[in-house]
Amino acid sequence: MSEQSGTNEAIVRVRSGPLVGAVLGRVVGMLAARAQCPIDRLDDAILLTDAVAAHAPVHALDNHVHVVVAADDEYLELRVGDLRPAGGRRLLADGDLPGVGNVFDRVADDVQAGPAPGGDSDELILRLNFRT
Amino acid sequence: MTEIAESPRVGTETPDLEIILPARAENVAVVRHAVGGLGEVLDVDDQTLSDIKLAVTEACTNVVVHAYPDGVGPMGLRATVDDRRLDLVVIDRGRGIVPRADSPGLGLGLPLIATLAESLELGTGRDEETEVRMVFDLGLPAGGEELDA
Repeated sequence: MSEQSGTNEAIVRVRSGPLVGAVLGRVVGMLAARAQCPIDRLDDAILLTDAVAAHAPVHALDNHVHVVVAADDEYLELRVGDLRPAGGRRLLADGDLPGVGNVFDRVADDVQAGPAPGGDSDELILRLNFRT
Repeated sequence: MTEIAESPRVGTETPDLEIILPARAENVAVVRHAVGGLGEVLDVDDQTLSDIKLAVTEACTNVVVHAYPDGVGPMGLRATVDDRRLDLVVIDRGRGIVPRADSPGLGLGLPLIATLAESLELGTGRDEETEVRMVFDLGLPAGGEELDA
């Protein structure tokens, strides 16, 4: 268990399967609400969470999905970690919807995929700003 | 009958769910809500789920109130499901479970958890974390499919 900073941040690690969406959606929803997230952005956050829950297990290093959810007054960030090499980009690509585009790119204000610090795994970072 | 034990424990299993947050009052509700999601997927009946959420709320509240007298530290929940038995461990890196003459509470939290859970253990986990370990019998699914855990 690592020490936490002042930012409200939840480290969530869930066994792949139906638990991922059920738990992650609730944690993201609660943290976003506590951070005074506008209702339209809350909807966006849940949409991103559902997409992560649907696709991340395929790219996870083990049988668990690892997400760090951080929120404050201005943003909500999902850091999907412990992904296989190139898993960040592959997870991002899984968000492509025919006729719509990429759900991650369209909904999140900032999207970054690539090796995680340390280089042992990949990650996908999705950030939603509350004020534009 | 509920058993209360105090013993050192080294956790080696990989939990089905692990959440770590700052030990703040508002985050007790986050953990409680996550446990609600767990209960939904496991198809736990309402009464049992209510007991589980109450026990987790009490354990997390103890962390917020007692674990870090000089500030905020981490608060965690680990959940493992095995054959309709739910093993929940609330963890912190605070000062441990010690008597407090100046306690702001009534001292009913742990006895309440002991009443609600099938078993309760207080101990020290990996990395010297303080652990409150609760086991619940989930009974038969309330209806629908069982989690393939």
